[in-house]
Order: sequence, then C-alpha cells, then structure tokens
Amino acid sequence: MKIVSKFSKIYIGILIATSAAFLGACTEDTTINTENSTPVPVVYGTITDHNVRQEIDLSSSTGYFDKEGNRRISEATVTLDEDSTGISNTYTLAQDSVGSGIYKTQQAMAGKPGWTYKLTVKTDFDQDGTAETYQAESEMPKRVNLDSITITKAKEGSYTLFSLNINAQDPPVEENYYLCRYSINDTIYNKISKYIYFDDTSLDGTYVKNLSIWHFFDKGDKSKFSDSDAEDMVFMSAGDRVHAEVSNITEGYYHFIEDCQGQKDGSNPMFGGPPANISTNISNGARGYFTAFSTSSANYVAPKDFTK
Amino acid sequence: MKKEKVTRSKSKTKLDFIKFFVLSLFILLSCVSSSFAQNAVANVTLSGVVKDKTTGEPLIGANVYVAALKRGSKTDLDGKYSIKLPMGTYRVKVSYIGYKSQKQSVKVTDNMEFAFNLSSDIELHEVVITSRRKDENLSKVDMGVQKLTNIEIQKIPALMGEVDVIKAIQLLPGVQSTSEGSSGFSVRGGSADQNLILLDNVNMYNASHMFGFFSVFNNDAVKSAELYKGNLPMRFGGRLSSLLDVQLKDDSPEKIKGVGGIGLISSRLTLEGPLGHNTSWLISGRRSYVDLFLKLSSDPDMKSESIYFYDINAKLSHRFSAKDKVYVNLYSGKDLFKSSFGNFSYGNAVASTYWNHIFSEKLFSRLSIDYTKYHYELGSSMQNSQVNWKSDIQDVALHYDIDHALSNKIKLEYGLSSTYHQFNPALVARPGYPDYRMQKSYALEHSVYLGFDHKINDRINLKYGLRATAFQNMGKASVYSYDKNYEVKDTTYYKSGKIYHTYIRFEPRFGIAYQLDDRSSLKANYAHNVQFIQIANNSDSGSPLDLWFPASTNIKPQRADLYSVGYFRNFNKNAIEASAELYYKGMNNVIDFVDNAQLLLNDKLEGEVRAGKGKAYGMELMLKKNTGKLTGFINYTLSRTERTIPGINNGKTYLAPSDKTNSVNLMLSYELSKKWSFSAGWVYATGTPITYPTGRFEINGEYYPIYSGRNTSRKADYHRLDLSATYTPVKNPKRWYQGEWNFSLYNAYWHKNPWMVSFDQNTSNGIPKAQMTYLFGAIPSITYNFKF
Repeated sequence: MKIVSKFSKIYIGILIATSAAFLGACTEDTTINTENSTPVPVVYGTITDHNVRQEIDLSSSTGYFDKEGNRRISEATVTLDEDSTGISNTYTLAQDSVGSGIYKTQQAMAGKPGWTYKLTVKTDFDQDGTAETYQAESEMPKRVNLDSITITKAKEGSYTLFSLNINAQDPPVEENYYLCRYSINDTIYNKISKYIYFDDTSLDGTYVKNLSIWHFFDKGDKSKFSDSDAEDMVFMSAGDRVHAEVSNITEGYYHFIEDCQGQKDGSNPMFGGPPANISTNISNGARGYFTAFSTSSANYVAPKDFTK
Repeated sequence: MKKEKVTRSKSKTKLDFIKFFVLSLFILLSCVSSSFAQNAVANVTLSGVVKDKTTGEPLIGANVYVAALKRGSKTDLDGKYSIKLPMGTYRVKVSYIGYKSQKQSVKVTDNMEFAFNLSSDIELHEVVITSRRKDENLSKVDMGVQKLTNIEIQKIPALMGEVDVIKAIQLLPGVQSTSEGSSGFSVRGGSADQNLILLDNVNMYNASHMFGFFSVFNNDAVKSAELYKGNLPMRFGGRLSSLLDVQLKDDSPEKIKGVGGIGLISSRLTLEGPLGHNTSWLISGRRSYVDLFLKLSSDPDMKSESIYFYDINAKLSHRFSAKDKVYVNLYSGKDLFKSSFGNFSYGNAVASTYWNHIFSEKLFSRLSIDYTKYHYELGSSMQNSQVNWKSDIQDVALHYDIDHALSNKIKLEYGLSSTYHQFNPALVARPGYPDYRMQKSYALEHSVYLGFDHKINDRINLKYGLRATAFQNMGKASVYSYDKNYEVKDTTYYKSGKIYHTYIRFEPRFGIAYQLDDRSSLKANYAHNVQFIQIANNSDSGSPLDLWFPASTNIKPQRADLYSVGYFRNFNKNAIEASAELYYKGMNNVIDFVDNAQLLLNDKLEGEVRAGKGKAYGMELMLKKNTGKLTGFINYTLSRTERTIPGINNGKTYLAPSDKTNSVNLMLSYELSKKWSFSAGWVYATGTPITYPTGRFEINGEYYPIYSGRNTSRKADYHRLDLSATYTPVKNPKRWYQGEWNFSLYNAYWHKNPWMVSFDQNTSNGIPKAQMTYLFGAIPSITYNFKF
C-alpha cells in the first residue's frame, strides 16, 4: 500500500528531523570529488489526451556538478507512431525553436486511451558519423474519471494542513497507478518532485470517496521550517483556488516518478536503500522516460474553516 | 571504593560441604561409572566451586592446579572445577587474575567436594583487569573471541554518558560499526544481521535504542559481554559472522545491594538481593527522560511530542537442591517517538526459564525454554489519513545442552534445540477500510550438535565438532514461484501446519591451539556457518524497520567458511597480551536487494532479493595492558569485504557498506589516585564506501543523478577522540551509599564526521551542490553513579 509507505516516509522524516535537532546534527555545504561518466542522451515526453502539439524534450546528460546547464540536442529526427487495432498514424516532430531541444508535433493532436504510442529518436549523439536510434513505447491506460475534489482544513498540533481529497471510481480488478498534478491559483507545479502518485492496492475497485491523497502546509506556518526546506515545499492559504488533474498512468511511469523523487536528493542512510539509477524505458542506453496518459480535472477553493 | 566485607561463617561452609559430599557419594554409587579410568590405581574426583569471597559470585575460568601431578582444571560457567586424581594429600593452588592466589592442602580419600573462596586483589576502583585470561588466552583453542567485563565497559568514555556494551564491542579488532552512532555492527566483513545477539542465552533481534545511538543492555546489570568472531561455541549456530553473548549478573548476594546512576539522557537503577536462603533476584531498569523536558515547553507542538526509551530486566534464581538451580529471566524494552503527526515505537520482549542440573562432577545439563519478540509500530494520527502499521517477529525455543567431561583430557558438549519462528511482516489498519494483512510466515529450526574439547598433550589442544540443522517452512502460506525475470509465475497454497520445505545443513568446526612456550601460542581455526533468516533492510544505519524473513523455496540459506590463524604472546607475566590474527571468510548465497527495491509491505519481497558470493579477509593486531595504573588497549585492523552478486551493480564486484580498509582503536585508562581516574578513547577508520553520482539529467528544470557503479567512492576518513574523568569522593561512613561523578566529552576535538551526503540545488542557478550532514559536534555530559 504505497500511500502508507509514502506517508510514513513523510512523518518519519519529520520525526527524524525533530530528533536530529535534539542531537545537534548539522548540515552544511561541502565539495566532493566525483568522476564524470560518458554523457548519454536524455529523452522525456508524456503524451496526453489534451488536444495540443505533443512535445518531447531531448537533451544530454552531463557531469553532476557541471556549472553549465545540460546541453540540448538539436539535430535529431523524432517520429511518433500511434497504433490501435487496424489503425496506424505517424507524426513527425520538429524543434519548435532553434537549439531548444523541444520537439513538437506539427499539428495539435490528442492521445487516445487504449492506443499504443511509439517514439523513435535518431541522432548522431556520439558524433561518429552514424546516427543512433533510441526508442520507447507506451500504451495510454484507460481514463479514470475524477468526479470532484475537496480541500479540507485540519489542525495537527500547531500545524495547519490542507488535505486534498478525491472522489473517483477505481476501475475494478486491474492494478492501477495514479498521478495527480496540481496548480494553486495560477502557479502550475509541473516538476516531477511535486507530483503526487499513488496506487490502488487498498482501493480494489471501490468508489473512492474523499480519499486524502496529499497534505499541503499552510503559508502561515512557513516560518516554522528552515529556509532550505521551505524552498522545496508547497504552501497554500485559505481562499486559494486548487486545480487538480488526476491521470491513470502506466506502472513503469509510476516507478519512474517514485525513483526520481527517491533519488533526487541522495539517499538517507536510515530509510533509503543505496542510491540507484532511475528507471527508464528508452532503449540503447539513453535515460529519461516516455509515456502516455489521459487526464481528468477538477477545482476547489481551500476553505477558511477547519473541518470537524 | 571499598567493597563491603561479608564474611561467611566457617560452620556454614562445612554444612554445605557435608551436604555436597553425601550427595555426590550417593550419585556416584548409583551411577555406572564410565570406562575412562585409565590408571590401575583407583582415581577419585576432586571437585567444587571457586567463588569470590566477598560477592559470592562464581569465578569462571579460574585455575585449580595440583603441581605434584601436573594436573589441573579450569572452572566452568558455574565456577565448578573437577580433577581426577589418585587418593592422597595434595597442595592445590587456585588462581585467578585480580585475586590473591590460594594454596590449600587437601586430603583426598574419596570423591569429594572442596570449595575455594578467593579474595579480591583489587582495591578501590577495580582497576581494569581485562579478563581472566591469565594464560587462558594462550591455551584455549578459541580464537577470534574477545571478552569485556562490565567494569571494562564502564571505563570507556560514552556518548552522552550512556555506558554501552555494543559501543564497547565496536572498539574490538575486526568489528566495525555500520554507521555513526549505530548499534549495528559488522564482524569480519559480515553484515549487521549476521550477528547472533544473546541476552542470557536468549536471542535479541534488535539490540538498539534511539535508532542505534544506545543499546538495550543496561551495563549495570551486565556481568560480561563476549564476542565470538565467527568461531561460535557448538551450542550456537544460525549466524554467519558472530555471536555476542551478554550475560547478566548472576551473584548470590547475601543482602540487598544496588547500583545506579542519574545522567543527562537517562537514569538507571539495578537492585539485587536474596529471598531466603536459596533464592536470589535482580531487577534493573533504565529510562530516558528527554520527553519530560518537552512537556515543559511552551510550544504546543513540543508539548504533545514524546521521545523516550526504557529497559526493564528481572531475573530470579532458585537453588532447589544441591544439584539443581532454576532461573527465570524477563526483559522488556521499548522506544517511542510521538509527535502531533503520528507515532513510531519499537521494542523487544524476552522471557526465559532454565534449569541447570548437575548429574555429577562430570555431567552437567541445562534445559531452557525461551520466548523472544521484536515488534515495531507506525501510526499516523493525521485527520483523513489515520493509519496504523504493526510488524513483529516471535520465537519460541527449547534447548537442551549437556557438558560432559569424559576425562581430564576430553570434554564433550552435546545437545539439541528446536525453535519455532513466526514472522508477521505487516498488519495495516485504516478506519473505514478493511485491515490489510501481509501473510505471516512460519518456520521451525531444529539442531543437534556434538563437540569435543580435546587436550592432546601439554602443548596441543583441539576443539572440533559438528552441528546439524533442519530448517523447515510451515504453512499456512501462499508461496510464489518466480521466473528468471523475477516475476511471479505461479502460487502454491499450503494449509496450516503443513511442512512444505526443509533444508538440512551441517556446520563443522575445527580448531587447534599449539602452545609454543608458557608465553606464546599459535592457533588455527576453521568454521562453516549457515544462516537461515535474514533482514530485508538495505539502509546502512540502525533503522529499526527490520524485516526478518526466512530461507524458503526461493531463498537458499546463506553460508560462510571462515579460516583463521593467529599468534598470541603474553609479556610481563601475562600483564600484557599481544595477538595477531589473520582471517579469510568466503560467503555463499549472501543476499542484497535490487536497485529501488520495495522492501516494506511487499508480499513479493523474495523477488527483490539477489544472492551471490562474498569475500572478506583481514589482519587484526591487538596489544592489551591489563594491570597497573595505566591500562588499556590498542588495535589495528586491515581488512576488505566485498560482494559479487548477479543482478546487483551489473554483476560486478562491489565493496560491502561496512568496508573500512584501516581501522585503529585506542583506549587508555589511568588511575591517578583513589579519587580520580581518566580515560581516553581514539578511533580512526577509513571512510566507508559510498555511491556518488557520475552524471545528471534534467527534466523540467530539475536535476536527477546518474550512477555508474555501487560504492565506488569513499566518505572522508572517520576519527574522533572521547575523554572521560571519574571523581570518587572518599566514602562518608555515615552514608549508606557510595557515589561517584563521571564527566565525559564525546568527539572532543569536534571532528565533523559525515553521516549522510545529500544533494540540493543552488537557489541561484539551480545547479546541484552537495551537502554533508554530521551527527555530533562535541558533546559533554555529566553522570552521577551510586552503589550500595
């Protein structure tokens, strides 16, 4: 039950931080020497059911502490195939502006649940005169309908928390994996570290009513956290408008998000395993991920009053 | 600090003597004597107990020697000695380090008992006598064994004044702590779950408090801690790397006495006393009280928080005949962390009872039944997401062990044991949803063993034996089988009680000690160890979320072959001990977990396990000074431990997490006067292996690491100095107790030893940077100890 282990990670983290404070643990910047491995191409794209010019990002990996940003891949041929029983379409993607590394379909198109998407990227990454091919494939899972969301306000100790609750029908039988992305007022949090992800191990095809999938801290409590922690956190206040998008994602993409969030800041000797590479479904030694999912969204305004 | 003088009346001794004499005679007459009488002249047996005159505590390993016959015996675990000799009058010499030797004329006319009571040689602060290994360290075959008495353990400057058995063990050569502050330790390159930790012969699954900063052993109640680095005694098995045998005090005090202390983090009290003539009891408790300060805080968050640990030990022993003694031992301990968001607790509970029975001077048995449980619980009390998760492991075990002296030259030990294991990985309860229970596993572990302790001649001692174990998996169970991609292929269901799989394994052990002269010896040992249960916990540090799981159809038992040789030399009449040991350990079926393994709440856990080979080798040098005003030890270990497991690190060999190439431990204790004594400890070790990123990729403005190999870099070298001073005021005769003050300073020169290296992004340009977290600056502490 991933919700449990995720929440346990959160409050264990809080408990540890509290105990660490008692013991005088300190964190400071340091320099470490690392070797740099050979760069590899990085392919990232998520095909959605929004009718837009679908996008793939191509860049290169680089040394971990490199002062320059990661170089974009500009000379690549990118094609997207979509298949369903009996039907096949191919789209060619082109860079939207010179040197951006962002490749888009020429026309707007919407992905369709149940269809299989295949990405092919051809580029001479190692500059040896021959182009290498990098591929990935993903089916777009069935759509899940998010009926509505609510935000409830609660007090835990001296902290005020806003719980994001969803109402939706969990499709029966299969194992389902979910992604929820949100924006607060008009700030979109589209970074993987901010994604909410969960599975349906304990839901089992029931109608999910007011399932709490996340807690946001109140802006008023921001000063209780250290500056560096507060920077990475998302705060909200009563009256904020929350827009949530829930998607039924593939198991592979679910693990990719889990790996990214787990590995991003290094491993904790107490609760993590040793550092490991983030999973990928791109072939031929490249990194990143390619997937497809549909979305269903709803809105709510964070209440002023506490829920009983 | 003077010991209380308790004199035993002569008439009482005589009465005991008569009782024993009559009983032994009766037993002997009713037994068929075994065929090991080698002389034509009738041999009789002289036996008895050697005790400390003041405390009444039996002295183990004391030398009882008859010079005229060049024959002697060492006292066993109960302080009993036994010598076969022709009838006659002899000068018997009894000696033991730290005590005044006794020479007694004994007229031996028949099988008889003769007890010796030795007076302590030590005054005042019980100057460190590292062990009773006067020359025992030379003649005993066991190598890779180190013993610490509670007095020695107390000398070691402690973190926050909390004297700790396991921290002391971590200073021994060949032993590495797995992480700063942690109670986990690695012995000769093994992992932290390869150590069998016993509290009075009962297994403790997790011997740590506060995430490993302290251990569950209250040193005041401890008599000694003995670490066997791979060559386990025959009656124990089931772990590859070591046995830590912690024995609680076992005196027969004549009146109530106590010892305790008040410290910054916790306070403790140990009381022991008699209950009638034949019964003794011991009660020991310890509790931390940081949380009491939290309650005083004005911050409402802090007020609702709780953080504490406690230990309670209770022991009762009753001698109900001259031949029989029964013990009951209980232990309960717990850690609790509670905040407004939730709570987390874990702890051990142990109950055991054993019956020591003396058949004769040559035959001794122990029958024991014990129960041990390790449990933890996580609860979230946040509204809308209340959840409670419990997990535990429980054992019920029966042991029957026999010590049988066939002759002066051969001693046997044999016996059997049976353990029932129950693994309960998770029970998750959420209001409004059905309970989610991960299936329990059940296993039985049965062993028989036979060991020989064989004195070939004056120079050569041998020890050899065999242990055989059957490990059985029992239903009710649904067992998955996996294909070669570790995906579940099918499931087989077994009903309750059905034995569906059995492993039978043998553990042979062999050792030889060759005494070169009266000051030095050479030893060699071989042991083959097998382990049937292990932890799914891939954190390096003392995370208490231990998940024990058994060998099964999918997981083979781990095994290791340990070869060791050593040279032992004593100087200055055994006042200085020196040793050099070399070891090589080859391991098979050692396990590790795949990248990004999901260990918790995963009923397909076995699919995350990969098994392969391990190799560890090293050299341990030790120098120890046992007597005089300045005592202590220095040791150096050069070692390497690595693993090669298909599916991990692309099948390439990688360093195990506790690999430390060089490790130095220095401990010195100086008795300045009757009032003041000082200790200093310095530890140094090569930084442990760590995996650093060798590249990064960027998605939506965030950077993620790329790794090329596991454990290819090292943290900075670890070193730290600890100091302590003890002040014992002159005892005020009007006061019924004796107090002493202990001041300690942990990490005296504030060396920032990295505990965790993490990454963050620079606020300005988003480029990653490294951050180092270190746990401890210099930490001072004051403790007040008392004794009565």
